[in-house]
Amino acid sequence: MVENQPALSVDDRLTDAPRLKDRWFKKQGLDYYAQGENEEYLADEILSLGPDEATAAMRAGDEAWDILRTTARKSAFMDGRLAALGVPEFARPLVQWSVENEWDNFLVGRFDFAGGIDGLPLKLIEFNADTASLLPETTVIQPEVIRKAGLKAAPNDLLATLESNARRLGGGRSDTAIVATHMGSEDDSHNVDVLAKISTAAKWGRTDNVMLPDLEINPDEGVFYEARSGKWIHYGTMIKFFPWDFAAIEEPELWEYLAELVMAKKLRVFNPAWTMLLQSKALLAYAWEDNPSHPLLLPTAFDPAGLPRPLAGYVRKPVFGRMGENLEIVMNGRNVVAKTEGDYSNGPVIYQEYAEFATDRDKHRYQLSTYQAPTACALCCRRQDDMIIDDDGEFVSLALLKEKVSLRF
Amino acid sequence: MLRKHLILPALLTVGLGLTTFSCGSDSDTVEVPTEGLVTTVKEVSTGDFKIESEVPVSNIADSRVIVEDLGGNRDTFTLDEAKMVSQVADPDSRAGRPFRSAGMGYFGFLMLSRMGRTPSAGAYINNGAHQSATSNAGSSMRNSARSTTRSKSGFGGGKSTRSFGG
Repeated sequence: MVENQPALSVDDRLTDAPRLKDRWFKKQGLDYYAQGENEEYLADEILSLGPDEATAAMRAGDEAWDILRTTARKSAFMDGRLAALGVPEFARPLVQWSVENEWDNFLVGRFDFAGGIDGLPLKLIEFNADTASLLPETTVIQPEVIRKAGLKAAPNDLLATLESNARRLGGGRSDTAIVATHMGSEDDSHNVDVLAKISTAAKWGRTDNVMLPDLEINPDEGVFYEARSGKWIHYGTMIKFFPWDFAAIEEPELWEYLAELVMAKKLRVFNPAWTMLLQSKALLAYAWEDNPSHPLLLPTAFDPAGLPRPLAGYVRKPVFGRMGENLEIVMNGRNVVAKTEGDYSNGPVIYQEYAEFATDRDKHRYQLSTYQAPTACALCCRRQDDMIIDDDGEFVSLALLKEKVSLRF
Repeated sequence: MLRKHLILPALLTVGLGLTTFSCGSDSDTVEVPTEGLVTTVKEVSTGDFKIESEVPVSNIADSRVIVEDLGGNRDTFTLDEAKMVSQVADPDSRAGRPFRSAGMGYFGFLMLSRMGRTPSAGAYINNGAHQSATSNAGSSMRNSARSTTRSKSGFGGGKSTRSFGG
């Protein structure tokens, strides 16, 4: 929470963002983020944060990390909680093994917060623990926008911290390569490319970007790819951009194969399987239960009746939902004021108290995020002129107001 | 906005399905079903479901679980839907029980993608249903099952290429 700091209006610290040229995007291989249907994706404005706001957000990331990890570790050995978290029975041995053997093997994730601007309290919305996106935007696009604008950057050590973390993790074996894999979405491919570059920079070894369906997975031997006829590449490390919950729910055989390989130590997977617990929004209900009235947490429950103030508004969310899909915002206990459709209509849900987002005069709501690798190392932001931020949201580059306050994280 | 449902062209050329694969070492061999099943589970008392019938069908994709409640109302679920519910719902919940029951019969082989032991009679509504399933669906599935080494590609293939980023 920002304390002893005059509330600064969002509108007062929006400045025009320089438009990056098409050839720059092409040179970076990031045309996807600025052309066609995504032409309006990058906001035409920059948001400047006060130094205290930036500091508070980074601290909130680290605090939220500690809270959720503690809750996850406790919940991993409670059958009732695991069921509510959406972890099928067959998946629990790997999750528990992962907690006990891979607890420090975390590569990168991203917290999303409400508030933190305009004097609004920072409130944890969720943690993207498994497949945290916005990596190309934060590591490549945002720095260029801020540089061209001649502004001071908001905290953004994502690349350096990721590389340092990757060196600490030491991903590779000398006799195998690293595969950065995804399901085929261009955005996911770009995100996993950032991690593939980190793998190379940290000297993990040869790193290939290969779509998941193209990988041959043998639970006794490992993960393989036929790069050309008869030429097989054996991967001993996987950087994946598909979620563990996808494997558990939609491809249980894939889970089974990966579980056997991971527990036999024939394959390392980033992020490890325990991150499925933090990816589950149901963990927020247990975080609230274990830390009642914590100022960073929003009341969250499995039923609206379990909320302390259900009439104040709540958001109904699928436990493993993404991109703002299948959300419902309910006010006064019964009025659905906003709703989105999507692919996550089946499965368990949680109810999270509605939180205020900083809003500008054009009704854009601003969502601050922190990257954890595993400590807080960067801020990014999205906004949308709607109550729910989904894939219609814009990426807003962040700068830092030039005030005479030193940053301490 | 960021449109996240674009398809990379390369995905269209992905090969699917089971494949034998050898990298110079022995692998376990498993039997996998090659035909499907239509299973009907019936609520015999409140919350208690038993298998009423299991009828073989040629294609696994045509597999269905038909759930009939005490009131005679029927819902039909595909194999994918049955897998999702059985993996997400508490097996003791109202939502999970029909699929737990179906999984205790030959439909369980489809849900796990491998053949197993003959289901026990207790999973069925009566001995006649059990015997009929064993001699009909069970026999047909076993005769058509094929062996494979435990190696597979194509995971995630044929599904939505939506972004999985959060």
